[in-house]
Amino acid sequence: MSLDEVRANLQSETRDMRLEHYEHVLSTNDIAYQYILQSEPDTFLAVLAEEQAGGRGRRGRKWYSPPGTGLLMSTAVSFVSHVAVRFEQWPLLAALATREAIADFVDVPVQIKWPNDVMIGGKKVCGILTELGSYQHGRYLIIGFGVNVSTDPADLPEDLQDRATSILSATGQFCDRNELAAAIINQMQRVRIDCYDGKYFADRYDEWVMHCNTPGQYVRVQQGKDLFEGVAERIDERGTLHIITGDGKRHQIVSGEIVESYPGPNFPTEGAKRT
Amino acid sequence: MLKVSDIREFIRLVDETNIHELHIETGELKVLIKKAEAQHAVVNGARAHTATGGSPTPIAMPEAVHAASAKPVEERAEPLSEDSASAVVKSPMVGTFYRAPAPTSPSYVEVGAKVTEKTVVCIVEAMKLMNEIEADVRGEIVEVLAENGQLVEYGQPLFRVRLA
Repeated sequence: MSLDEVRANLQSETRDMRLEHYEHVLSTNDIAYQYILQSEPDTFLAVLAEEQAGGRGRRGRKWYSPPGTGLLMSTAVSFVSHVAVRFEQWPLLAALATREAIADFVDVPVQIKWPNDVMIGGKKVCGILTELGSYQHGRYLIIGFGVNVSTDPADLPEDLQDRATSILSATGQFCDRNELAAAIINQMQRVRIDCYDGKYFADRYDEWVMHCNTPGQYVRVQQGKDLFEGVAERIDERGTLHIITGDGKRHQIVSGEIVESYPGPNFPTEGAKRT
Repeated sequence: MLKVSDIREFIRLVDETNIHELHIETGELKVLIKKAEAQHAVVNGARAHTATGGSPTPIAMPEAVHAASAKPVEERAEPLSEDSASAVVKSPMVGTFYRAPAPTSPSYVEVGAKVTEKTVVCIVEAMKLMNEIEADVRGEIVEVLAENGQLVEYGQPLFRVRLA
């Protein structure tokens, strides 16, 4: 990757932002954290890497990306004043940002799986891990993106092969990683400015829902220790997932994730494709 | 007609701003949301953290909202413990309470652990946002009040800390 190329594709308002590139890191989120600790208030920076030895997914899961085939990037945003910042909406908005960025490079639908996976053809092409913490100037968010750009799905662990893919594999279209990095940063800058302007997830709700493939699916959802199985009814303007279980009860899911989903009224008994 | 979710959102707005109280009237329903005084040392884990020096000011939670009452709320939020030398770290949001960064990692803190204002004591996750919660007080963890992996509510007590 080339930081000059990334920078050349940034909007003017972010062209001078801090960009760092590494060949090998444990985790871009961890490096971004180190930079944000030293940063001035109201910073926006990005760290990119070719390879992550300890790339993290949710709850310590590994994020696999063969070197040079993925976009491994963490953006960090700090806030002097976090009055009315709805931090829990940022993962949803980061997913929309990534969706918008990827959609500009391909001719097929790019969708969001609640709350923040980006999917093509029902398979995951981007995972996002968002961490919120405090430092001397206030609060910071670190949003880590792992996009499978040209990864051969055969190089992914076997248990991921039917759930994950890459942009190239799913579309046959090549996506320049420098341009994609810049496109995601530009979209995140929009999220950041919206936040300062008092705009929330609800302000981009229609756009988000239009691209979300979750409603209507039969899902199994893990929320803490609880497992729910039922039809995903909708996502509301706070980003909460509503599901209706077999007993007719509606459950509002604010945490956790969809561990399994199927585009039908129930799970197939065997052999069918699940995402 | 206000829904409970609307009222929850109003509480958040009050909590996130410098507004001390908010009156809402709609039809026959009147709601008063009022911030409690800080004197009880009831700590909201995600809030009292922007001070860059000196001792932190504990921030109290908003009072309970009596949605069905036409009378303004008079009561103050009570501290969980009568022991004035202890404080309670509360959840700043609805989410899943995790005591460790990953299932195979040791817990951030155990009972008996000494904490400072900046010690991360747990994560509360909502919408895949990993929110590191700091103790915001200096002392010793004397009780863990929520179970690992449990869904916790806004303002739910997570830890009791004996103040140093």
